[in-house]
Amino acid sequence: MSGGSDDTDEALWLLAVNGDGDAFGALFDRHRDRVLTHAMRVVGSAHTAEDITAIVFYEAWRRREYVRIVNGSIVAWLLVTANNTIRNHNRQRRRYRSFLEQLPPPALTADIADEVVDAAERESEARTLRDAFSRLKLQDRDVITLCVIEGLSLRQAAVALGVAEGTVKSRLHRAKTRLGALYGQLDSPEPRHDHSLHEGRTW
Amino acid sequence: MVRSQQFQTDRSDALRQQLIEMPKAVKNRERAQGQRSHFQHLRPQDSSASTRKRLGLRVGAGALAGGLVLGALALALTPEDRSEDASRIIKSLTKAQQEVDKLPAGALPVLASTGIDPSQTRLLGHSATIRYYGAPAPEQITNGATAGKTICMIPVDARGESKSLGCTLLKSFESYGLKIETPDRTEAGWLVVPAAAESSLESVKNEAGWSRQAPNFLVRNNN
Repeated sequence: MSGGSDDTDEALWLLAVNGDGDAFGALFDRHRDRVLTHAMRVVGSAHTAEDITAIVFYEAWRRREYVRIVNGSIVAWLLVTANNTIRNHNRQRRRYRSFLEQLPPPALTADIADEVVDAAERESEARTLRDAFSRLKLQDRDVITLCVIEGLSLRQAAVALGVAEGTVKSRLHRAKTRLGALYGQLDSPEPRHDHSLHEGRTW
Repeated sequence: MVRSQQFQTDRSDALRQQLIEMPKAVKNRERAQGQRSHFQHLRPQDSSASTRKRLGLRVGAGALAGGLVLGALALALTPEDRSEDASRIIKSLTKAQQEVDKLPAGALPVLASTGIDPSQTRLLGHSATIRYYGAPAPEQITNGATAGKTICMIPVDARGESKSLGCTLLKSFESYGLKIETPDRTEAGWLVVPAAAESSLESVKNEAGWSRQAPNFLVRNNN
């Protein structure tokens, strides 16, 4: 079997797609929290973020022929898939309802998200930035996720997204501009709404 | 914006168990259906080459997806020879290895622990940046693999290196052939039984870039 901590994502993924469940488990162990944290950044609810994380890994398996390994790592693909899942959360949740329903229910204790969100909301800049991010178009979120939050190079992001490096560069420029504009608009006392879980096009 | 998040432990454990079962279920289903192709992956020597094609990632699925189509065609066309002699698929194995058939030195590590004799490799063809070599392999090439003589395809990238190889049982080769694709599906090599080459090419007519490079070797260049 497999799943040693020394194995690269690429090696584990190749083992997984050829029937090695433990290799897939090792990939889950390795990237679960990173995907969860990213989802949490966007949706602001721990329980929803957990569901999204689960769906991301279900999707990795369902769409295994299309998974991209960038620099030996699967994480960029997982994060981009997380953005897609967040956008299509309701539809994806229906697709995987039977799997999700097999998971234990969320703990009855208070959602840790409340604590996290409360903490985050003490900093209005962080809150506004999160709102602005969730209002970006999906492709803008993807380049921001990969190039800004995860610190991938333009080339790595291009491989992950399946587009030219120049395209990433221009998208990143536009995404930053849009993010800045949205941030400016939202940095006001008007009430805000969570737009992160709308199906289809977000804006 | 948000601190590192922790998954609820029992949900994480249950999810992990689900995920572990997914590859196993597919593998078991393939076995139940008599689909015996398998994939041999060796640990990459260098994962830092970001621009390098990721070779062989799609071999398992490719062999299956293509194989289902090919299988029906090939079964009807080639009932006569199911021997476990790899030379019925790679004709050049009946001749001495030529210089061009030898794996580059940088690709030889991929053969380690497979039991494949480097003097038995043969160049099958090439796509834009990848050369494909074929070779017979001994029985039980990997632990847990179904017993039987095996034929393997080794993709070698433009740097003369290889990270992986795809293998399938000779006795079931008709059903699946052996196909290796890059993850972005811009390049592929597909070794088929000689009598099924035309039919195989026809089966991918809706996918751009396929051509017949040798009597029973198809390639895809869709860059």
